[in-house]
Amino acid sequence: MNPTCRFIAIRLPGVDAVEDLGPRLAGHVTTCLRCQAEAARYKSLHRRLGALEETIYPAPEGFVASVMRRLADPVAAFASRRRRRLVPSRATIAAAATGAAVVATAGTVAVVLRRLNAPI
Amino acid sequence: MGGDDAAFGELVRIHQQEVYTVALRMVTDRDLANDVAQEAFVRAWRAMGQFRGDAKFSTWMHRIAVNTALTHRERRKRTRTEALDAMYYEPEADGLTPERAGVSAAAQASLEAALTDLADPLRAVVVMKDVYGWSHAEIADELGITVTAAKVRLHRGRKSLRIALWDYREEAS
Repeated sequence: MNPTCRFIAIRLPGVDAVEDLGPRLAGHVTTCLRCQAEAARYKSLHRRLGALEETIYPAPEGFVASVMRRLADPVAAFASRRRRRLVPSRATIAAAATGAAVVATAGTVAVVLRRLNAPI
Repeated sequence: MGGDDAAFGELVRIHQQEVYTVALRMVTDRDLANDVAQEAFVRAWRAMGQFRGDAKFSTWMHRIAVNTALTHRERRKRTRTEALDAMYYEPEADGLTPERAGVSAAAQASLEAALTDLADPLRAVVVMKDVYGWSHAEIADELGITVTAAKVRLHRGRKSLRIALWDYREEAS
């Protein structure tokens, strides 16, 4: 493999067609069987990748219904539901704080009453 | 919602396979692709006001599906081992097949396997450019990278596929 062949082998993955290599390198390809073979491989790769666009995979059964359910659900997206679970709302935090305050107050009152009733 | 709801449902019905296929090519896992495709439609519904009438709905949905898939990368990494076992070589019974493009099913299966083995950033660029025909600028914009970086990833991705698909020893001789 001469330096030109090596350089073309390095450049080929970055171009869409041999012509994009420029006139000098493209001219070399027309006279070099090794480079023609390498160019043919990339041409085949491009054709096969392009053909993938025509390959359509069927969506899972019930796909449309699932999407419409997600749209109708006010919580909607899965991520939103997960976020809601991880981050409590202000109302939840307020309720928890109120509950904690009530428990603490009741505990304090009970301790005070017990001390008042205790024999001296 | 009402009428809008029904109209959007029709769009989902028409484009579900394309969007699911884009998602599957990007994340290579069926369950994750299902979730990505559904979320893409939910995002589209919420962003419907931004949809410009001069663009095709399918093109717009492609972009949303790709973007949604990219945000699922981390989740995909956790399911990768399972994905390789469950990967997708079941041609659709009544749909389009690669044979129509003059490519054998076996050749396409080996290509899809090689694509699956590519690193996520490389596969994303190869799929966008060589499968769906995006420009370097569009890819760079969508991925938040420079055009040069997009070209480098494309170069590396194609070279990896070439090595995977053809015996590389013959070049070294």
